[in-house]
Amino acid sequence: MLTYLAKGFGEGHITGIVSWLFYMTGAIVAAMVATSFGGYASAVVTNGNPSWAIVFAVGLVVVMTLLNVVGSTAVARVQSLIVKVVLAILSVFAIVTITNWNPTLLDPAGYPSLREIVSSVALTFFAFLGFGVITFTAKDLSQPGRQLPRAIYLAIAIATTVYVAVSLGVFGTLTADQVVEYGTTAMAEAAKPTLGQAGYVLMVITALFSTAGAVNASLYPATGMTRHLAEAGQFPPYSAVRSAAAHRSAWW
Amino acid sequence: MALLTIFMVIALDLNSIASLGGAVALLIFSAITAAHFKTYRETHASLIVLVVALVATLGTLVVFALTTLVDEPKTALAFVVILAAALLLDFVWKSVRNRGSPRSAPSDQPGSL
Repeated sequence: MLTYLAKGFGEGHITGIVSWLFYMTGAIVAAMVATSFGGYASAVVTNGNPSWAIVFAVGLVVVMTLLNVVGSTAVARVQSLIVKVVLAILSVFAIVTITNWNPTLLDPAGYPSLREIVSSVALTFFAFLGFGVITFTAKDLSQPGRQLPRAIYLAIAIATTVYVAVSLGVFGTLTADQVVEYGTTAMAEAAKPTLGQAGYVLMVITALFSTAGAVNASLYPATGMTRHLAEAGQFPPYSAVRSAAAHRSAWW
Repeated sequence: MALLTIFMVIALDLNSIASLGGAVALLIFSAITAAHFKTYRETHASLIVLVVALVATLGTLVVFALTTLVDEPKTALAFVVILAAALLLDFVWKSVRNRGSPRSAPSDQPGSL
């Protein structure tokens, strides 16, 4: 994405400003997912105490940053395993909740205005921002020109299917007001009617692993992206940061 | 990045962070699509798809700003701060860089550095 910018606008101010925005978006994604982690952890451990939710969220960011500083390849392996397990559990959740849903809850008569629906689409764009990370794998592919587009289209198709199926499952089980009321733990609450307390616990554990992995994935590209932009002259030299401490750019 | 993340976790709630991310993401997608107009022949991209993409991202951003951001002053302020920070960081860094190397003055023309 940053290459498209540089090709279109050159290495001037527009590319520089959008590059900084892109860098900050990584922090926004990490903050959002960490806040969700804090919400789930607080719901389980401290009965939903909001102060503890922030403590858990900050703790997760600190731990994941330290893991990125260490640069352990084991983290990458665990991350890969987490994604597969989470994908499997979300698929089961979607199938079970859709099988037992109440279609009247999805009646368009209860939808908000078109303007509010379009406004909410902004969040959908945010949800799809991570696909740019796939291009980082290009160097490991034998035929990136053919394999990379396929990987991106496939990933978008799978993610969209899971997003839509899980949404149908949640909104076919809970009312919109209940979803708003439960907030971060709405998905676990949606599992209760069909899967009982065990389903709730399973979804909480899934959410904790999923959000922890997502925070790691959001912080991970920081070092490579900083280096790339510094080499293009858009960010201060990476070598200056590196000389201060190896991989410290994960903090910045 | 981690410090910025921690700051947002403490200062904003989940809805505000999501709204902020949505607005910034739309701005980035719009800029990237606009940049693509200059290279679409090289990438063999469809001009119609690019126009639809730009209208969709900019249109959604306007509706989002008029519908959601107007009711969330804290989020709107955070959006303005993020934009100002990106602007400031770029201009400060480029002025420092160009002072050290006057030949590499920035320009928004392709291929210039």
